[in-house]
Amino acid sequence: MVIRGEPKELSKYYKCSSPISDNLQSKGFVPKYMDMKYLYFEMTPKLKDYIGGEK
Amino acid sequence: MKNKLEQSIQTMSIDVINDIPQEEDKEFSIIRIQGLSDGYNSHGLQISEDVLKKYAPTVLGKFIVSKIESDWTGNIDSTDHDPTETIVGIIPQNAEIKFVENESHNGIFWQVDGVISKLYSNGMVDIFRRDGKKDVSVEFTCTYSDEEEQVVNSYNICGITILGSKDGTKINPSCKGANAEIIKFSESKAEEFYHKNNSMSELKKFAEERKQKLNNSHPVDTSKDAVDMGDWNGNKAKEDLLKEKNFETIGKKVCLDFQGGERILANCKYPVMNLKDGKWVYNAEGLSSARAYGEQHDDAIANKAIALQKKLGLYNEGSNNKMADIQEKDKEKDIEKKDAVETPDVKDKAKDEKIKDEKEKAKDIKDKAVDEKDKAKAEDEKMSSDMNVDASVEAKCAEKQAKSNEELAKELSDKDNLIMAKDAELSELRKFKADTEEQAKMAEVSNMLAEVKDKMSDEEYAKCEKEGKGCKFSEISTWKNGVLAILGAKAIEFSNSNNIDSHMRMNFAINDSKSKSDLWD
Repeated sequence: MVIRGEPKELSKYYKCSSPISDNLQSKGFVPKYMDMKYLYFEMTPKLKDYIGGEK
Repeated sequence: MKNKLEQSIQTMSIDVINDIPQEEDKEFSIIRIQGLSDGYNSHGLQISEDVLKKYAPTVLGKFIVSKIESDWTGNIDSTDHDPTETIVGIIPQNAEIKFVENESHNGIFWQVDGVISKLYSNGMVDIFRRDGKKDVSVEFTCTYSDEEEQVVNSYNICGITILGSKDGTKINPSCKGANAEIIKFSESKAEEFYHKNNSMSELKKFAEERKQKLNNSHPVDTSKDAVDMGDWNGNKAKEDLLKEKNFETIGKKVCLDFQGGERILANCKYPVMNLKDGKWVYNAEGLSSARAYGEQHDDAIANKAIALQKKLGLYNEGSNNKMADIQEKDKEKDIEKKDAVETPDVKDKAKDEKIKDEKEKAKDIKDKAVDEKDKAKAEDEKMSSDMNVDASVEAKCAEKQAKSNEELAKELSDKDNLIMAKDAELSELRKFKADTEEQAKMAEVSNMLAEVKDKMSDEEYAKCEKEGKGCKFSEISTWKNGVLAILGAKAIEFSNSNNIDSHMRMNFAINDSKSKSDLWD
């Protein structure tokens, strides 16, 4: 499930669009919000680690 | 060049059409979607069963979307959530929503059938054919009753995304077990599906809504203090149960043999509770009744009833027969009534006669009460689909049979009357036909005679007139020919005597029986 629209507290989410969002989804992360342009992934420790690891 | 292009276009078109199996619908495939549940989801949203069910209809009329991509080998697949998703199908406005628990055991899902375009879904149908089942994820907007805890108060589905894989890696849905699979339909079933979705579901929906409005909800009180010692009416208990909002839950408590499912009397056997003061409570007589029937037909039921009786302090080893109970109760009532009648007046000998009358009246009332109970018992037994050899039941059956026979006799008599009426009508019609034919015949005879009067002797005329009046309508042509034959003979005589070479002219009546034989043809 994905909630349509932009989250209220943007700071808690990782905002991205394709191809990053595709990459994250293929790694098992599920976006919580999406709007007409972006997908928003909740900034969980696992996601933080993954993004950090990517860097 | 132009010809080559046209040829290739034609070939391509034919190939596309050939790709579509002929036995199926050429434009749409139907997929069954289990989209959202009240169970676990990776976002931690809390969706109660009530909210899930209440807002499930928001999926109707919404789009099925997907982002289809091909990998480096050229294989196409649906991928993930993306703003560039495209529409591949739709949930019909009148689709039926069901609530099911799927193999993921992740709560209750709403299930709905949607249609996928075979021609415009960029190969989505082929993907389904290849993979069978696909994960799905709903896209929705929602409101919270508790934003901190993410307790969803309402939701509105915007679309359903068909998920798949990206670079060979499967995309996970947030709601475990949400999926869609293609349904293979025969032509007749597809037609049935179409008609159901276009006509019946509206009616069904309306009926369900009305039913829901009529449904009541009553609490259950299984305590000993709440036991109803009053009169028992098993049928009424069952009917009340059918109207109960929480039919499935309460039914298990009200009936010792509860089938559940469809709200029909046959699914509610051996009721032992009834409604009293807005609550479901055990009825002592209902328990005795269930125990008595159970002892005759099903020991398990009897044991259940005995266990309840023991729990409620109603167990009496000797009292295992309902009739005995009723008789015993009636005796008690009789004694009470007798006491009630006797206490103030017994001492007064002058009122002995009055007391006697009172006693007789009381006895009558008691007899009536027993009769009514027997009737209720017989009906109860009938509804429970059990055969009972009780004399009162047999009497009731005989009475019903007699009533049925009486109705049949009445029906037969009505039909007899109808046949008699038809007979009378037919004879009237026959008479009318005969009269009309006679009039027509007389008119023909008169016309013919008027024409030939001057051409024959009085004797011949009288003979023709007599024959004409005496013949039947169907013989009129023959009669006419006879008359003309006489005239013909006369003409031949005349020509022989005067001019042999002269022409003779005469007309014969043509027997046009086929066209005019019957007035009623």
